[in-house]
Amino acid sequence: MKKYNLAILAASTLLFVVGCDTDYINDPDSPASAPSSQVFSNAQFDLAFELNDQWVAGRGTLQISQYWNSADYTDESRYALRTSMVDDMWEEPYRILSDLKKVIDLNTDSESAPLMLQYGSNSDQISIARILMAYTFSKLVDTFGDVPYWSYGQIDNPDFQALRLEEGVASPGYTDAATIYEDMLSELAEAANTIDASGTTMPTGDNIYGGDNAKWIKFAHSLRLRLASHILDVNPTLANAVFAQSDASAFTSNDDNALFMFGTTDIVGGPWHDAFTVSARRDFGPSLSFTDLLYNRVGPFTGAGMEDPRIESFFDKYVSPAPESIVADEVYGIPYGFGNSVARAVTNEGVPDAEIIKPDFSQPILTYAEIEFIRSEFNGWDQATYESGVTASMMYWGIDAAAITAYVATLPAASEETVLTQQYIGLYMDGLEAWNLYRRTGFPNTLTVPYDTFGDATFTTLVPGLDAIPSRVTYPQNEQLLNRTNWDAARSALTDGDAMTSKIFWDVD
Amino acid sequence: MNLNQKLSDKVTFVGTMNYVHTDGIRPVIGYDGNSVTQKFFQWGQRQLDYDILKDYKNEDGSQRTWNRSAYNDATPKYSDNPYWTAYDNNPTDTRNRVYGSASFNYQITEAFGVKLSAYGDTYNFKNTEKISIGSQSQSMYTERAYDFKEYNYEFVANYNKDITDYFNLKALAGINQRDYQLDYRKNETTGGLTLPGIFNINNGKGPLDQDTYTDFKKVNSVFASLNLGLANQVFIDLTARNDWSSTLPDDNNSYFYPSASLAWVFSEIIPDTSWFNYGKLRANWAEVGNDADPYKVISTLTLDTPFNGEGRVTVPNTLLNAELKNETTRTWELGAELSFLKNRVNLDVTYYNNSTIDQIIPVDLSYGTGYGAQWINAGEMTNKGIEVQIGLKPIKTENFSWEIDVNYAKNENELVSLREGLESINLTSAPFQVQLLATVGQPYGTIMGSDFIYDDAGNKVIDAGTGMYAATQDLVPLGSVQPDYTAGIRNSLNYKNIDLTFLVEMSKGGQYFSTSHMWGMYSGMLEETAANNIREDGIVLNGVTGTITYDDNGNYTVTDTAENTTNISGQDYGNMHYGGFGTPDAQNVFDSDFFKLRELALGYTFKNDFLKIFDSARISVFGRNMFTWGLDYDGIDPETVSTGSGNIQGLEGGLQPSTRSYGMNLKLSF
Repeated sequence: MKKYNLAILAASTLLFVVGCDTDYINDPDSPASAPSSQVFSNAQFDLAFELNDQWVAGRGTLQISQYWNSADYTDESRYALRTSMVDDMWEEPYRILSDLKKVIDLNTDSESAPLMLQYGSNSDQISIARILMAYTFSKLVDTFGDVPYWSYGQIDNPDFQALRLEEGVASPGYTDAATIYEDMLSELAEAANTIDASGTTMPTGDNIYGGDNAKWIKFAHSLRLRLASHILDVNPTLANAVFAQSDASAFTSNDDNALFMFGTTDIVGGPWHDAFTVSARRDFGPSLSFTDLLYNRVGPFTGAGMEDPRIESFFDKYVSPAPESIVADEVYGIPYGFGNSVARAVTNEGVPDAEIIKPDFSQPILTYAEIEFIRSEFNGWDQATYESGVTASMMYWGIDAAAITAYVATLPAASEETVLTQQYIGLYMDGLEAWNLYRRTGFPNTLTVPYDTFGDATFTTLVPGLDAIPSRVTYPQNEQLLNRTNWDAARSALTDGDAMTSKIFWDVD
Repeated sequence: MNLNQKLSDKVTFVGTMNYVHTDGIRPVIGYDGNSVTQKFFQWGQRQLDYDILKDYKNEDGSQRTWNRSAYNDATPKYSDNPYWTAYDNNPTDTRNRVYGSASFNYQITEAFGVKLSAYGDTYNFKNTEKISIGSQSQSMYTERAYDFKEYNYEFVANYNKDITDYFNLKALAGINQRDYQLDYRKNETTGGLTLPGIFNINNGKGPLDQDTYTDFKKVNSVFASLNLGLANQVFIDLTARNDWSSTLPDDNNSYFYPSASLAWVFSEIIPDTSWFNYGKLRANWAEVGNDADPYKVISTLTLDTPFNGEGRVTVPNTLLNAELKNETTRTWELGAELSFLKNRVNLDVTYYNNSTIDQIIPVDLSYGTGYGAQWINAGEMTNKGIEVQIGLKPIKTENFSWEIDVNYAKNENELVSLREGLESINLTSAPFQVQLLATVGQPYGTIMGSDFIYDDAGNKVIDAGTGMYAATQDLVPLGSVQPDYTAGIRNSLNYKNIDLTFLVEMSKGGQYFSTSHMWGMYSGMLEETAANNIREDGIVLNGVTGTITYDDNGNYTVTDTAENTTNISGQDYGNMHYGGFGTPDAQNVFDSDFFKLRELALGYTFKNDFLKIFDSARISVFGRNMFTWGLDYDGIDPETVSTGSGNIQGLEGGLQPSTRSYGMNLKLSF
C-alpha cells in the first residue's frame, strides 16, 4: 500500500516537473508594434508641447529672450534655471527623437515595413521623420552645444552614438556641434529630395501638415534656411550655398507655416492652458523690454508713427477683479532682471493673450515670416522680403490689412537692426529661436542686460561668473553622474567649461 | 473564520477565511500643492495665526486664505488655507481584503502524509484625491482602484519520524503554483468640477482622464526540505527549491536555490554550572532566487491618449531587456546565544553577510540613449553587519529588580560591481537639488551635490562679488545616508508595586539633505533667517575671499585669500541656501545622529488585597518619543527623514514631523 502511494506520488511529481515550465506572459495593455502614424502623432504632440511648456519655455527660453518675465519668483529670469528645467530641455528632445526613430524603424524593419505602407510609402515616412529629427536635434545643439547625435543618413557612423541603446550604447559620446549642423543640413536636403511631392504620408497622425508631402518639402528647405542663418558668421560659404539651394523651395506664404494646434480639453490642451487654467497660476507676464519695444519707446522704430498693433495679439491688458473689472490703459510689462521686489511692485501687468492661454492654442514651429527675414538677411537686408516678413507676421497674429499697411508704411528701411528686430518680434512664442538670434547677431539691442539699472535696482545674474545674457545652458546633472567620461570630454571642448558663458560654435564675434 | 473537519480517520479538511477592512484619510506629504507640511516648513508665513485660519470658509462656501491674489482679490494665489487643504482637499483610501485557505490532509501512515492546499489572497484598494471648487488650482476629483488577487495551489508530501530518541527526521517535498493578478484603473475629472461638494467622477466638465493596466504573473515551484535533529543538541535544516517564472525570458526562466543551516546547543555537553547556563551556535547559508516584475523582457510600446481622432503610441521611457535573468540573494549568517550567571546575563550575537547578485533594477541612463533607463541585471550589492543584544539583570531581589537590555546594530551596504559600461546608479533625485547615487566601491546612497570650496587652511571660500559661499563646479559626494550604527538601551526598574521603564535609542553617522531647510531658509520660514538681528544688520559670512582656478579635471586651487568683509542682507543670506544660485548644496546637508528618549513609563500594580473583585489591576502613565537631542540641526528630526520608503532615505522634504505622545493605561483583570 505504502509503496503504491509513493509510486503515484513520484509519478505525479515527475509529471508536474515536466510541465513546470511556464511561458512568458505578455503585457496585455501594450502593443509590440503600432501604426507609424500613431507614433508620429505622439512625437509631434510632444515636440509642440514639451519644448514649449511652462518649464522649458515659460521659465526658460521665453524669459531668456525677454518676451515674458516672472511675476513673483524671478530667479529663473536671472538665469538660475532649475535643474529640472535643464533636465527637460535635454530629456524631452531625446524622448521625441526616440519616437521619430521608431517611425523610421517601423519602415525599415522587414517585418513591419509592409504593414506601414497603408500610411504612405516607407521612403516618405522615413524622410518626414528625418526632417523632424533634424528640427529636434537643432534644439539640442542650440541649447547645449555638442550633444550625442544620430542620423539615418549616417546610420553606420560610429561617432554618432545617440539613440543606440538597443545596440548596447549605454554611455553615448558627444558629437561636435558643427559636424551635427553639417549633417542636419544634408539630412534635410536628402529627405526633401526623396519625398514624392504629390504623395500623402501619415495623414491622421500629422497634425502639422495633414500628411501633405509638398508642405514637408517646403518645411525641410525652410529649416535649412534657418540653420544656414545660424552659421552665417562662422561658415559663410556653407551658409550661402545652402541658401542658394533652398531659397526657391522654402515657404512662400503663411499657408506654409508649420503650426501645431492643441486640442480643446485638459488632456490634450496646450501648455499655457495647463499653466494658467489647470494649475491656475499667473506666474508670467510680459517683459518690460518687450512691451517698450512694441510701444516704440525703445529700439529702431521709435520714430515710427504708430505702436506695433501686434502687442494686443501678444498680450491682454490687466483687468482688475470683479466687480470693478477695470481694464488697464495699456499692456504693462515687468522690468526684467531686477529681482523679486521690482517684479512684485508691478501689480497690473498684462497676461499672455487669451488666444495663447486657450486650450487649442497653435504653437508656431517654423513660420513664413521668419523665412522672409532670413531671405532679407542673405540678400543684403533686402527691403521687399523685410516688408513681406512684417506683413506675414502681422497677418499671422490677426492684424487687419489696413493697420498692416499703415504700420509697414511707417517702418524705417531695412537694415541689420530693423530686419533682425522685426524678426525678433515675429518670433514671439518661439523663445529659443529668438535667443539664437540674439546670441548670433546681438539684436534686438533692446533687451535688458546685466548691470542695467532700474530705479535703485541693478540687474545682476544669480549665476556666479555670468555677467551677460547666457550663451548656453549647462548640461544636465545626470550627464555628469551617469555619462561622466563623455561629459568630461564635452566640457573640455567648451571655451569656459560646462558653464552658461561658453559659446555655441556658431556664436562668433 | 475557521473550519476544521475530520472527514475520516486519516483525512482532515481545514478551511480558513479572513476579512479585513481598513480605511483612512491620510495627509499628502512631500513637495505637493496639497501637502500641508510643505507649506509649514517651506512656503508659508511664520506670523500666521492658526486660530484665525481655522475659520477657513466664508458663508458662501468660498475659501478664506492668507495668501490672497491681491488686496482686492481674495482668491488664493499660491497657497490654500491649510485647514481648507486638510478638511476639503483630503485624500481618502479604503481597503477590503479577503484571504483564506482550504486544504485536505491525508495522513497515510503515522509518519507519512500528503496535503493538497489552495491559498487565496485578494484585496481591493481604492483611493481618491480631490481639489474642491474654490481651491487655488482647478477643482478635480480622482479615483484609483487596485484589484489584487493571488492564488497558490500546493501539493506537499511529508515524512516525520523520531527514528530513535536521539534522532528525529522531517522530510518534505512539494510543488506549488502561484497565480498573481493586479488590475489598476484610474479615473480623473478634467476641466474642473461642476457642482461644489460633489466628488463623483461624472461631476467633471471635461472628458475623463483614464489609465488602466493589468499585471499577470505565474510562478511554478518544486521544493524539498530535510530537517534532522540529533540528541536535542544539533539541528540541521536543508532546503532546495526551483522556480519557473512567467516574468523571465522563455529560455532562461528556471532558477534553483538551496539553503543549509546548522544549530548546535553546545551547552548540552557541558556540565551545568552556576555561571554558564545555555549556549547555542548557529550557522546559516542560503540562496534566494527572485524573478522580475511583470513585462520587463519583451519590448512593447506604450499607449497614450488619442488626439484628433487618432491613437497615440510612444516608445516607453525605460527600455526592457530580452536578456534578463533571475536575481539571487546569497546570505550567510553566524550567530551565538549565550546565557550566564543563572540567566542574569544573556547575549545574542549575529553576523550576517548578504550579497545580491544580478539585481534586477531599472538603471537610469543618459537620455542621449533615447531612453531614461533600462531594466538590467545590475551587478552585485552587499549588505553586511552585526547585531548584538545583551540582556542584564543586575539586581533581582524580592522587592527590587533592575533589568537592562542593550542592542546594537551595524550595517554596511555597498555596491560592489555594476554591469560593464556603467559607473553609477542614480537612486533618486530630490525635487530641486541633489541626487542620491550608488557608485561602485562606495557606500550605497551617496548624496551628490555641490560642496563648499575650502582654501588650504580649511576656510570656506566666499565669492567676493556676491558675498556668498562659493561652490564646487562639479557634483561631489556630500555624505552617505547610511548610519554607522544604531543602538538602544532599555532600563526596567521594579520596586514593590512600582515599575519604571525607559528606553533610550541612538543613531550615529550618516547624513541627510533637507529640502525643507533649503526653502525654509530661502523663504524666511526658519528662525535663523531672523535671529541675531540679521534682517536689520545683515551678516558677514565667516570665511575668506580668494581666486578659484580649476584644472581640466575640475579640481580647484584657491589663491590670494583675504578675510571676507562683505556684508550681505538677511534675505540674501536666506536665499543663498538654494544651490540653484551656484551656492553650495552642502549648506543643507546635516548629520543624521540623534539620541532619543523613546519611551518612558511609570506603573503601579495593585495587590490582590486592595480590591477583592479584581485578580489584578495596574495603572501606568507613559510617554513615547519624549525628547530628542544631539542633533546637528535642531529643526528636523533625522528619524523622520528615513521614514520615507525605499530609496528616499536621506532626502528630507516636507515629511510629517514625528509626534510626541503621552498616555495613561489602566489594566484590570477579573
